[in-house]
Amino acid sequence: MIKKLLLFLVLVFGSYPLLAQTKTVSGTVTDAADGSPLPGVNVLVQGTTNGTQTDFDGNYSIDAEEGNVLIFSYLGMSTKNATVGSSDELSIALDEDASQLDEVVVTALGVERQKKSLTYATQGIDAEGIDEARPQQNLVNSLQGKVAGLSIQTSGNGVSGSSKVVLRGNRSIAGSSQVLYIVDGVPLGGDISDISPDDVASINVLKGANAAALYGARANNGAIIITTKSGTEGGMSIIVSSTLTAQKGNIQYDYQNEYGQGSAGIYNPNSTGSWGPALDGSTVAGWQPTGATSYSFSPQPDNVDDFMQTGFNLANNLSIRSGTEKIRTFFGYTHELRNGIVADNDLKRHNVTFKIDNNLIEDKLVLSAKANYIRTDLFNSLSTGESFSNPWRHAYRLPRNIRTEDAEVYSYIDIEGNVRQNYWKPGDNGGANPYWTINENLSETMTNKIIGYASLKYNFTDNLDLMIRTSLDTSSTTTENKLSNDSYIIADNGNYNTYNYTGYEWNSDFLLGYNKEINEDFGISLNLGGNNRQTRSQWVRTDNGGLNAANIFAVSNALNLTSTQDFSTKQVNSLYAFGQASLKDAVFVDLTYRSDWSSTLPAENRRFDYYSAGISGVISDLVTLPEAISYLKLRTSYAEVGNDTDPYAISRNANLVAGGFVQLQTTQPNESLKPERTKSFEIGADARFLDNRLGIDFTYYKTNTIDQLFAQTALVESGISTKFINGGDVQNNGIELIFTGTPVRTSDFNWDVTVNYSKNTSEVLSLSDGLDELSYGGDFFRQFRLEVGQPWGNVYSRGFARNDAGQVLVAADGTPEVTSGQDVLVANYNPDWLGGITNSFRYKNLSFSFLIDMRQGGQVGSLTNAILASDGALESTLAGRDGSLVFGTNIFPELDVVQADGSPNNINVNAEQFWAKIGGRNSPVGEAFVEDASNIRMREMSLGYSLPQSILGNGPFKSAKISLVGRNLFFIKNNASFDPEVLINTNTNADGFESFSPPSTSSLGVNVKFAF
Amino acid sequence: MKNIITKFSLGVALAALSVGCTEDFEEINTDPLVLDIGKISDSPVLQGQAFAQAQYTGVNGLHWRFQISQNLFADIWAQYFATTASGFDSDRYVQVGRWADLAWTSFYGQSAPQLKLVEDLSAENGNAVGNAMAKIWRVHSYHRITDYWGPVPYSEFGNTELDVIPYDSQESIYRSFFVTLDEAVAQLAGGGSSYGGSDRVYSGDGAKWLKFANSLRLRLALRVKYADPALAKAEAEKAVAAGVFTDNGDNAYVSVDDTNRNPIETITDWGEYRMSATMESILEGYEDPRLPEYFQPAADGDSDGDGSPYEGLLNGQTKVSLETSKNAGHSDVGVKFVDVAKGGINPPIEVMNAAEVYFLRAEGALAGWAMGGSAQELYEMGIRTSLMDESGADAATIDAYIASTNTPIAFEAGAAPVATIPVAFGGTDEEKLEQIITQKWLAIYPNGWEAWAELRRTGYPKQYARIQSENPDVAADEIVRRMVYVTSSFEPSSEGVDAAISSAELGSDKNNIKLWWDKK
Repeated sequence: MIKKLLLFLVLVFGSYPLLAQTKTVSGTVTDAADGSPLPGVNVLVQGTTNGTQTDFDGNYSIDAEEGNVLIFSYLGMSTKNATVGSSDELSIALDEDASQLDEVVVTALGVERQKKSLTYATQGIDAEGIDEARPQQNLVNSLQGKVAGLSIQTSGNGVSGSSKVVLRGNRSIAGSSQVLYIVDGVPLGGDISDISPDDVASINVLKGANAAALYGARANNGAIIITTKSGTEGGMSIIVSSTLTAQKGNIQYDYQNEYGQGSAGIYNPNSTGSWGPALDGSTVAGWQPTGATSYSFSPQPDNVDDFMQTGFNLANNLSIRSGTEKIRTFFGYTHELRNGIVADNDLKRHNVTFKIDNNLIEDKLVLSAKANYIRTDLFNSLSTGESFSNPWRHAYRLPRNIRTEDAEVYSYIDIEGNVRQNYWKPGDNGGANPYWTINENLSETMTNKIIGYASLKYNFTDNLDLMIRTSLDTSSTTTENKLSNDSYIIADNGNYNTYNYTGYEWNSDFLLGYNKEINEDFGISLNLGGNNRQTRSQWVRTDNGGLNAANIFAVSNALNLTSTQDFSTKQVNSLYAFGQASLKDAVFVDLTYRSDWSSTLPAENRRFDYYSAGISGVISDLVTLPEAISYLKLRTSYAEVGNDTDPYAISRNANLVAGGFVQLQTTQPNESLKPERTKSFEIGADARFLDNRLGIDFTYYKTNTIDQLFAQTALVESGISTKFINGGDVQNNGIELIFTGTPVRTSDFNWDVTVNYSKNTSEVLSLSDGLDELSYGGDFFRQFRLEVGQPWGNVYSRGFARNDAGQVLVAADGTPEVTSGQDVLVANYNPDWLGGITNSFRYKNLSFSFLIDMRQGGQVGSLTNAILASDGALESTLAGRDGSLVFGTNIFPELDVVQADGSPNNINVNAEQFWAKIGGRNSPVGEAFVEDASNIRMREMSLGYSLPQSILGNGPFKSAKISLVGRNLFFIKNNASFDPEVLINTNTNADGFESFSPPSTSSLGVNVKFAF
Repeated sequence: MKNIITKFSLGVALAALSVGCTEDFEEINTDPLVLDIGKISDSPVLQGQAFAQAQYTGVNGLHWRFQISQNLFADIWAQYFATTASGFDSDRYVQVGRWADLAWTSFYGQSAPQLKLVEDLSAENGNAVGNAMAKIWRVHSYHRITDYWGPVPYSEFGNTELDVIPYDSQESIYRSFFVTLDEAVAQLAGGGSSYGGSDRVYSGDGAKWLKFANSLRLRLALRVKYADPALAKAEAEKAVAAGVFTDNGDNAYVSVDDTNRNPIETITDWGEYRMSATMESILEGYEDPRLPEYFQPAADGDSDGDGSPYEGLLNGQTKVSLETSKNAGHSDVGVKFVDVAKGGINPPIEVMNAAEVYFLRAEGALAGWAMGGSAQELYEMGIRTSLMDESGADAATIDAYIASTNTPIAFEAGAAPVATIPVAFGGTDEEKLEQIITQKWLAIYPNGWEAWAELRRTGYPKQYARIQSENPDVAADEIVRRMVYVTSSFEPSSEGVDAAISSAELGSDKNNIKLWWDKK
């Protein structure tokens, strides 16, 4: 077996001839236009499979014989040949290939097209450097600030964690507005947090339904197309790369450090609030339940910061690319270790990719296959929001006098020998010692994931080809949660939960393609394809309901074992056709048509069809424009995309509950569901000036998502709680602007600038007949609502009560009058605009770039601040502790506060009473805790140095590079006391709400990369 | 070329093959883990299981639903308990919207549809006994709902044909209850059983259901005593003549299991309420043998120095005062109600007991109705029955208790006793009524839903005033008269509830509006 494997490896990676009588030829490849070095140029010895690529500085070296011809090829440049002479040095300059001026991009279904022929907006991302500036949690976060119209928010789970990625605004009422990810043509069931940045060759963002219509239903939110690295023809290249990153959290809540535990100015060691006496250093009794020792009552300004540690992320990668004319392979292995800023929040990941392309029959039949295996071990993923096992909930609430060294002693043994939690308010519902949480509320998740495909492509003639492919994204996850005894409320008797998930998405498709140049001016391309998609997911959870024997985490140790289960499966069959006609290689017309048959829809509506049409014209190729305009393209397109729904939405059933209950489902199904539809129009222009040194790409779009499928609240007295309906029209329109410029371009120094700007306006045009608002529910703090005539996603909470004149009312006791329900619009998260500026500099071997990311507008309501205010932990609670607080004067002075009779408020109130009324968990006044989500941050900063060939010489390395990369380094401006981008989860209604989020995290890392 | 055409055809055939198969879509889109509703209509066994769910949800079995629909409102307002969680405003008389919402939606969303399904299917299948059981449970469930709000959707519940579900007046609902009970009683006249072990109350025993129907009629009859005395007398006498609960073997409980637990068992663990000062005053003053069963000594012992480790807390504590935990200093519920791991027994959920029936009869007898005994006899039987059920007291202790002239005591130094009546029956008719209702309040503990209704109807037991009310409509020394309607009743249409609010029975939607039967 091992012999066979070795033989296989030799065949795969070693299948190139070894040359005798050779010498090493080296040189530099440059751009003839400006003399700048060209990295990544393929260099091949003609007639052989011996090849290499130039390094970051355009340098190469290759073994060749005198008289051999070297072929230099590079995308967008004319290929050149040069003969090896007696010299060992051979440098060459390549010219721009006018016919290849436009870059080639991967579009829907993996079809590669010239960018100039596209009738819709796409934005390609330079994947170079993504592995160096790797984000802490998720590959997609490296797109933050780089793509116009793309909004990325992260969930606060610590080292793991998914991101919420939305293009051109939210649109789906009940479903997801998130993008679809396609990796090498394989649609992923979930997000791309598992994909290794080291494997990525290119990323292309298809922004609208127009671009993505061919992917069908799920692409109405746009798609992110990732192409991973493949083997290349000629030689073997080995890259070894290592990145070490350190992270630091930055807690921004405004803590006070003048008063400690207690109430009404009196010390109470059991208090969770800081309304006690001044922290004057006097000696007070300790809080410990066992033999409390007295200690100094003094400010502990760092007790919350002390809870954090410096996080580390170590990523090591080995990539081997090799190939001959017949077989090309890529092998990648990435190992990652992450230690979060919360102790023991760790992740280990192995990611192995193997990809092969084999020309079975020369020029006729190609077999391609890929397998990507990812194993992730995640330890103590952080719970979010109000979860009692979210350690931030407890860390942020540390009373201001609690000493770190005391809190760190999180447990003790009671007289009966039981391990008990050491906490200042034993048994509290909602409180815990944060050090207990991270040490005694543990979890472990193991995920095994395989993404792969196999495809055959046959060229019948030069004009006609057929591709058949099957692809799979499958994963299984096992999670264990271990909660020790005395984890208040959630596990007083300890608990043990397990979760086992398996699921897959399996696509099989074919694509028949026909291309024909009818004559010099006119060409057509026609394609016909079909896809069969099967998805399935199932899980089982068990819950011990307490433990019999303390802290033995086994199902057999259950006090009251319960289990729950879920199963879901769905199938969609599709047929599609698309074609393009080109005139003079300057005018392009696109048409697509697709029919889907979904198992989730009723038989009569099972099939739904949709289409797109577009036209683009390269004006600069058609007419003569002033010399300053080097390129001008106009494009417009219209698309409609249908969408189905989740399984089992068309029949009402009854659930079976353990213990022998039959329980009717409370949602009335819609037996005549229609598929929902997104209509999308866009128009854009791409212009470049001054010899392509300045570029502007402009897009205006408008999308309407209609006939949406969602559950509407019903009159519960009619016997159902909700009914599933078709309705709604959510409109988004906006503009996207991308400026690119090269202010300086010399052979030694280069400066590139890219600016992204996008502005999206959303409006809920309708919901359904007679329905003008839809609530997503929420919590004690807020409700997330969609309202007709309003932008997407209004956040409602309690507010200050006002009289008819709009003045705020104060109650007789001096506290604010408060609205009774969550009926005041307090926040909407949608930004006015988003922007990003990237500056890249290169001086000889040194490169430097930084990205400033901007978000203007939107608000977030903060439950954390509401609770910290009622705890008396914030700076804002210092005023009026002696009873001298006057609402509207020395607190909320911007409000015009009057008494019931209209006279100005002059009633004194105690700060503790004041904040108890408007803060806290159960009935907070959201209006008082809303913050501006605008911010400007240094998203990414990167400094790289490539060792010059003069140093590398004839050593073992073809190239070597060292980079210093910072991510999310600092806020240039942040009005909020938290990071407005961190969400409690990636659900639709999480926008505009902050609840015990992890702090904003900055990272600084170093990457070393060697090529052999 | 021909070759190409052949291959092309092959390709298309392949395509057709992959997309043509939609025959199994029906099967793919069928959830294997759930039950097709059609199957329920053919199966009495499944109907029994649906009924079981209606029984459990009809008393808000699920812990958090129970907390936010009963414990935070009726239980606290009846002063069985006082809140110790600073964020719970209901003890300061604030009906926090989102919680009360769930009292409404839990019933109409979870319980009522099940009940209607069972009642409809049992009628269709000619299952007279099962149908009678469902009807009796319907009356029990809806009287709780109308006792909370007043006019509520009843006669047209579940009518999906209507755009607006009308709210029936409380008067019409109560009148129809008696008719429905007549029907159920007639259906049960021949004995029989239905639903077997799925019936969580009486394991399908029709004869026991018959007694429950009569006892429930008695409860409802007394409820309308001040609103329609003639109806009350007639229905009460009819009930007693037909046979009501006479001993604890008759008591109605909803049985629980490991999954579907007694909600108190779970919420007690959250440490958010303790014994009320009113409870302490009465139980300690009476030297009541039920005290150690109903409550535990405070963890901190006798902190107020009154010689007893049982400590009650005044209701209506301010938010600020609750910032300091009151849990250790005050008495938690009795051990049998606490978490199983801490010695609890996960007891069945009590619906109605024989002691309550004796007290109902005693009140009727006091009014001169034919209740099969004198007010005093029935009052004393009520106490005896309750003590036998709820305490380990022997006959001599019980006799001594019944004869006791003990009165409530001050719950803490400097406070007044909450009331002055002794256990021993006597005094004016009004004092006797106070004795009857006070003892009933003790006997039906912890059924706060019923206790709050009877408090509103009779004004008893007397309560300590709350420390603070944050409700402008209800002062700290008054009692909340009803729940205001919740958000869900206004969505998506408010036509039904608007009509109810403007009806003669209410006039406005406030916590201080008296319900139809609240006429004393």
